[in-house]
Amino acid sequence: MKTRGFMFAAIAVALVLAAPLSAPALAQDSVSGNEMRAPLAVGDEAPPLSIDRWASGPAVDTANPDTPYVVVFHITACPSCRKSLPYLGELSQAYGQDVPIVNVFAHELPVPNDPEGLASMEKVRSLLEAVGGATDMSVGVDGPGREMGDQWGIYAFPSAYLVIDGEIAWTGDPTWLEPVLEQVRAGTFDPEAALKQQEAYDAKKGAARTAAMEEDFDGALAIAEELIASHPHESSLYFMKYQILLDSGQQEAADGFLEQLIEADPEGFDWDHLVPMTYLFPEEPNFALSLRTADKAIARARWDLAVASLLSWKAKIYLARHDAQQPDDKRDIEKAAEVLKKALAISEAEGDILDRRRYEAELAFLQFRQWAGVDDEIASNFLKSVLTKEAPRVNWVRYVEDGLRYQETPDYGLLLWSADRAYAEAFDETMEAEALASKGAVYAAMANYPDAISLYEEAVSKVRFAANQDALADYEEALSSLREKL
Amino acid sequence: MTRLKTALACLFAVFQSAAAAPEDPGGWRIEAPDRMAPGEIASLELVFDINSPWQMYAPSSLNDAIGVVGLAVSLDAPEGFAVSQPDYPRPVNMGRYEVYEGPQATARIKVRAGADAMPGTYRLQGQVQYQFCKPTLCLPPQRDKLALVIEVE
Repeated sequence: MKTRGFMFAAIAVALVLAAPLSAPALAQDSVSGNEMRAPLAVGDEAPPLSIDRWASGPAVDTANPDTPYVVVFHITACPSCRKSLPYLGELSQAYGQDVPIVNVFAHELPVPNDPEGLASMEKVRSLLEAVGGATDMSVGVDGPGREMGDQWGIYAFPSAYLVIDGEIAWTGDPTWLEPVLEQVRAGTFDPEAALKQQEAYDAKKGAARTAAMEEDFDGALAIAEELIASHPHESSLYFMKYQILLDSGQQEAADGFLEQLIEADPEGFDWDHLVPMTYLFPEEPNFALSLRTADKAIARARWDLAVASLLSWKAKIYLARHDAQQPDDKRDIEKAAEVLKKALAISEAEGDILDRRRYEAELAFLQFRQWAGVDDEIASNFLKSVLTKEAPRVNWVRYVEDGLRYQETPDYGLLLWSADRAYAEAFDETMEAEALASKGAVYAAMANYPDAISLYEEAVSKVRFAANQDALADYEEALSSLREKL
Repeated sequence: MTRLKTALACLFAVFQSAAAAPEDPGGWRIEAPDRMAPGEIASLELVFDINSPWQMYAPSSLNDAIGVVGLAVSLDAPEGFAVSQPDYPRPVNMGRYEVYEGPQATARIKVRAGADAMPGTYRLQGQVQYQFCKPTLCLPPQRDKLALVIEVE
């Protein structure tokens, strides 16, 4: 390709019809074309509740100015919104008599030929059904013209607003609502004090981050503990403390903290996020503790598909423990396969085709690993079954690496095929290089050094182009060793 | 593993309340040739700048399953031109979803001017769909139009 005449950013951007997002649009909503107001702040007049239709629960009447109420904006494409719904359902039951909570889904992407927004309504209803525990609370849907979302200046989700006497009295993350509602009910809520408190919280969290970056771990920990004491429902603070303990090299203290957390079982805690951290972050993971964390997450999961996903994480922890500790003992691989089969059964029962195919592929890999080195022919048959049917997101390079590492008599033809599949499905040059190097490793194991060298040379040139220094060093080392053999 | 660690470390980031001054999650731009010869193939790049701790969802069946909006780029070829399917960058697997992290993610589309394309100005139009989120907050999915002009000599 000729390289002349490239016009970079400045000129090309000028040709873009709709300005790309460099900051959230405040002047005009790029989809609805409505004028958007700036985000609402404490003291601003609350715009009206102009809900297009209700997806669940009673319609909320906010006509009485003496009744405070809460409005929480969500969007279906938002994992945090999903997570907050059961909690908001509980809050609604506990405080709804005094402070009604109105959930509003807004800013859904328009669907062609759906001027009335029926598809959005359907999406919201399916989501409410999937999350469970939230179906009795009041949930409205903004119209396809996005009038309400734009009037309220909503640009991010979820966003909660407390309205008292027609004015915004508090705004923030809905998971922080409980103490606010408690104070409103008791008649002790002070908007200015709440705002100051929130600013102080942001400042403290920033200070903890700065202290940790400057390796003042004691200082960072002290702030994290203070924040946890004042915001016990904020899961990210627990993650922060765990990470500080690990970064400061206090693995035992980190494990102890994890034990305490499992024991304390804070209400509404985000166990999903913590599970992978427990075995990916530590230098020497405490796998038994990771597995206990996964069990706690499974016990606290609110719907079946979340259980299936957590079971697949548990399988990954078993496999990681096997790889780290017991290469000749296959019991952890058997356990991994056992839990993955449960995940598969759940996804089948729920009709979740996408996850089912993923779990099937993961299970086939575990079965391959289970037999590799025990009966290589059976192991190779599992690999062949994956190669011959459509499977999403298969880590082909891992099949090649583990086949070469664990099989005594690998089927080189299948491993070369796997490497080719890895190359064909690569997204970028680093992945292409990985695939080429894995194919080179198969040729090297077959003592076909000229082909192995040529593949590693190609891998080197690809990672050099992609400026991936770590991979470059690995491939150059392999190349030099192959040249010596030749 | 390192990339996942970096990604999860974003949980450490300071939470900003949704009603605070809007943050800048990033944006996109096109890098493309302004002119081509008949029969020539050029690479058009859509460069997404992603400011940490924001992440952008990748095109992925995992993301479809949880209902978030993955990156999707489409470009229509005017008569005399051919365009490839987009080549999306490799995402980071976060267990339940797959994302792109900063500072940049680049999707590429190959554009070929036909061997007998007449000299003149050609306008290529398409659409970019994407969504930015961070651990506690999501921006609404965006669907932007894109267009660029290429001169065939």
